Amino acid sequence: MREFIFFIIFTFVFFAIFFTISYDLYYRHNYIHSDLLYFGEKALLAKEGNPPRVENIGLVYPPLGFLPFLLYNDVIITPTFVSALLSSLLFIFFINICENCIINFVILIILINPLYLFLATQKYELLAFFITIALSVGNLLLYYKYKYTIYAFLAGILTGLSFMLDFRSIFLIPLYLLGILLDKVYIKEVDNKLGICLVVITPIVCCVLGWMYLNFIFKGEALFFLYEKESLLGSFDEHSNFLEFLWLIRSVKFFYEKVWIILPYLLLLFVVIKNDCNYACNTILYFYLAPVWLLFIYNYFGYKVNSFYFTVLFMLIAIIYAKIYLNSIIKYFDTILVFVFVVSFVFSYKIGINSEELNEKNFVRFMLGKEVEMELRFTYAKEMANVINTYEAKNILCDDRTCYKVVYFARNAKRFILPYSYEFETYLSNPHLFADYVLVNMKNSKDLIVNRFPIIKNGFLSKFYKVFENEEYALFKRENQN
Amino acid sequence: MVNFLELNTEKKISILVEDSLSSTKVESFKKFGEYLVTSGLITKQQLKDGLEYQSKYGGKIGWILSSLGYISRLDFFRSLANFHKLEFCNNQNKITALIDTKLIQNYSFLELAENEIIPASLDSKKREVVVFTSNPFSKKVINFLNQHFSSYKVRQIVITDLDLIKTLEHFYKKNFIDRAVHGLFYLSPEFSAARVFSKLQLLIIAGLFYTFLFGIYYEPVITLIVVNIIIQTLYVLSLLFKFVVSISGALSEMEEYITDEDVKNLPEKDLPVYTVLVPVYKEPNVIRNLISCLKKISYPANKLDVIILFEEDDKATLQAAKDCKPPINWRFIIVPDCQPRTKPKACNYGLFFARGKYLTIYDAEDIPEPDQLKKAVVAFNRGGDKYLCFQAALNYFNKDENFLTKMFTLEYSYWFDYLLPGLYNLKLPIPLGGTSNHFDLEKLRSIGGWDPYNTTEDADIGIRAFGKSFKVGVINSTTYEEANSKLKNWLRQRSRWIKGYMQTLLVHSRNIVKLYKSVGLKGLLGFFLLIGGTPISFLVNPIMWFVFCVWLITQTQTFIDFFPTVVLYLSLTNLLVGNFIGVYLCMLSVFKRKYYNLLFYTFLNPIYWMLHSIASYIALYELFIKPFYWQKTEHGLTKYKLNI
Repeated sequence: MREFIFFIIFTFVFFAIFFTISYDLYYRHNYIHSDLLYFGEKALLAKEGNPPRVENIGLVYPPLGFLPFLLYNDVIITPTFVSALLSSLLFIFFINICENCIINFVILIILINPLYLFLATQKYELLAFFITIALSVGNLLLYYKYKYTIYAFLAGILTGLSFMLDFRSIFLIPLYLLGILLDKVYIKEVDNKLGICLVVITPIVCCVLGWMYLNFIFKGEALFFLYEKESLLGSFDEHSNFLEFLWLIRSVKFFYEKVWIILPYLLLLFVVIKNDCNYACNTILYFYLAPVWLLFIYNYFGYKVNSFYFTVLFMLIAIIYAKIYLNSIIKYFDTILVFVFVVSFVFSYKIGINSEELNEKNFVRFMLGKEVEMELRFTYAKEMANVINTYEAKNILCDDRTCYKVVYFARNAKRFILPYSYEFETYLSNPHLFADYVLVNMKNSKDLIVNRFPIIKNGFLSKFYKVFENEEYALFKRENQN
Repeated sequence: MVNFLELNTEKKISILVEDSLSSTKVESFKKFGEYLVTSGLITKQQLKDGLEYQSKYGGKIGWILSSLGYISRLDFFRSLANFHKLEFCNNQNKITALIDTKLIQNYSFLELAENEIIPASLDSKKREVVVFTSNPFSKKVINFLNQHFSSYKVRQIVITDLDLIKTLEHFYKKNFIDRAVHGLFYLSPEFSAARVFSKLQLLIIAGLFYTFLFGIYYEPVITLIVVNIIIQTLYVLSLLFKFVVSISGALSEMEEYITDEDVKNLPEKDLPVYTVLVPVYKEPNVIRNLISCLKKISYPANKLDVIILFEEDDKATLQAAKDCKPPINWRFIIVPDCQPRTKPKACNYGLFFARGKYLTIYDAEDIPEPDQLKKAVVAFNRGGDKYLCFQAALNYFNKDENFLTKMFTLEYSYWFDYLLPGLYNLKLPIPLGGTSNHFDLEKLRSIGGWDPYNTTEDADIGIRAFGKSFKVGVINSTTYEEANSKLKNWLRQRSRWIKGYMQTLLVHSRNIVKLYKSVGLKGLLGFFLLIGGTPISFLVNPIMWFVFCVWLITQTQTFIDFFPTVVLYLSLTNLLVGNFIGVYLCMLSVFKRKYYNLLFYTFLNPIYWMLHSIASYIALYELFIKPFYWQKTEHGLTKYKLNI
């Protein structure tokens, strides 16, 4: 009961903080992360599309990011509420491991650095992914400490769930297996080790198979989510040169740039190495290295990891390890921990502002009281949506991979003929016969309609005339229409 | 003997009471011990052992020595009579001949069985009464005499406890049988499964069936969609329920209910008498194991009241048991042959003669953990007055024998290690397992014992207890049983269990409002989802799997109309999440038990569930054709040697 009350209080507090930030960004700065608009648009299609079907979300990206939007489709409330729930869940987990109130309070404050706030308000699915990974590592550590089955169970379930948030979590499995199988101290029996492996990997394997099955029944191809253009494999960086160890350079660069932010993690890494190697065992070290492993793997496969927010995962793992293993070992450890977190907190403002990732950079700028750059604002999409609503336009042919923001703001999915529709190809082949309007994104080279009718770039489309255009979008209306 | 009978009864009774309660009690028992040494029935060393045992565990020295096997039953009762200068009789014909049949009509047979006394004759003029008893100085006998013969001189004749039972059976056989079979019906007819369907239930079932036929005729697609929605919703609810309950059960691993320390701290002198009921039928080959096993139980032998219940036609098992020559605290009771020939009827019969404060049931092939009874006592002491029963976990010693035993072990590990503790933590009705359920005897009698017409009398009693505001708990102790290794035998057992679940569902849903009032909304939902959901899901499973397989192989569009969007999502959730949860929870439960070699078998669960479905259809058939038929499970089929 006490935990439940804490949970409610923390959720409320977190929600108040996250909501205020997100609300301010949305209404005062016309900014919201485009991913949230994407989720919102897909949820709109799933609930109010033609026909309304959950598979309208596309089945390319992991489904859990969309799920909260299917329940309540609001780009401010939904992500901030989910982030608040997850953050309080995480915090309750911390409290459960160690009940030192002052330390927990300090960690709570320090945890809310701009990078964490950015994830909580703008990239909630990534925050959920990080928290899931951190908790799965935490539960593995707890299992090795106490040997309660429930911890192995939670570690397995959370790893499975993490796949539904980000397919790349599958890369963690080899690391976990190494940690479990190479153990020489905690568990010696081979059958026991294999048992843990099975318990930990079964959920993620089931999630992969389940997702493949859904792809098979809805898309006719079990591996659709891997090979579709914008999917996991489809978005590989083809230019990364493995032979030149570019991935390694990138990874080292990450550490070099973010060393002050991940200082607590690095500090504890020495403690883990010292402790674990003293026992002639690397199991805990393997689990602790999960974020480093992910970073290297991401870079190796060409997913650029240059954002500062990736350091949140490092910090979460560091706190979890410290709370599970070190509280009683090092005297004044809590004080040291708090100190390095203060350093991390200060540097997340100081160097976060130089991030290569524009959204993140702007968020830190916003936290420091500066304006959001025009390029990132949704002003043009909203403007176009208003035009569509004013015209009461229907039967609009558009490609929502580039125009999803407009579709979201227009708030009526039935007006649009989008790639998920059965009729899309027919409409696209002869738009003047079927569509009343055509909406295109002039700036995005991936727009299917622009690619089919390149003349659009010059402001022309056969048997259509332009009714509105701004910096980003253009709306065409069919001729001979009343 | 004579001077005892010459005493005024009241005076004598008061002497008896004083004698039994006074501080010189140990002294008098010591004398009985010495008397036995003098008589040459025991050695001095045996007396010394007995006295040491007495100082550790308490109890009467004579009973201790007999329970330790130093004296035979006959010698004990004969010596007891001689020591107290009472008459002794072990001639059954003579005993029955001495009893005035009119006199005993005045007493309840249950009262006589409970107090271990039979009034034989009464002389109103001399104000003298003759009674047979196997426990002449017990409080129960004195209370009985005080209650019925306070102004009479009493002449007590000692008979053995088994002769007392036989004599009672001689006069009250029909009453015993009637009460064993209809006891629950007389007490609370609404809880008896003797009537399978109530009129209202028949009307509802018929109504639903005709509505379905009507729908199929006029609107087949809509009807099948509605049926599909109901099925999928039930699946989802059942899945959620089992998941929540299992997680709650899994958390109980962190807090051991009863620790070894608790058991160690239990004052052994204060341990109550514990009755162990063992119903057996045609199991001569496992009876020796059973006796060896029960002898290993860590509980004072003199406080252990073991009753083995035999069926009248099962001479072989009885002979095998007699050949083992168990000590005096073991009693063999033959249950008279009558319908329904079920285990609960035999247990009800044994209940009449149980002496313990607590009672448990074991099957013939059971191997309980030695400290189980003590753990149950700790649980009762800690739980308070409200607890009717504590269920120990069941598992299998022959788990590695074949596919079936492996799957059975997976199932039991999940059921007893996750599901039941979860139900307990969430304060939901607990369907008890077949054995190793530890009852408070008085409370068990007060709710009418087991329902002999229900083929899962154990599950029924758990629900009934909950409805009567009693609590049912679980204890962290395991009894190892023999898993069914033969498919036919397994199907027989499983169909009986599922039929029992159907009976329990029908019995307790006769009056849903009443059930709701007694168990609350949470209890009601728990009851329907577990007791109702289990057989229903097994019945529906093959239909859904058939549809799925046909679609998967042929990619036919025939079923598309019956799966509108929402139903499709629901059924996909059930297919993917439901099967995963079912498999994964099983995996965890065997992982917890450290049965690592069984982990891979959890993936074969769908095959095992298919077997359940076959058993369910057999159960459904039997529910209508022979509802009370007890499909006997054969034991002793395993090739595994018991390591007791």
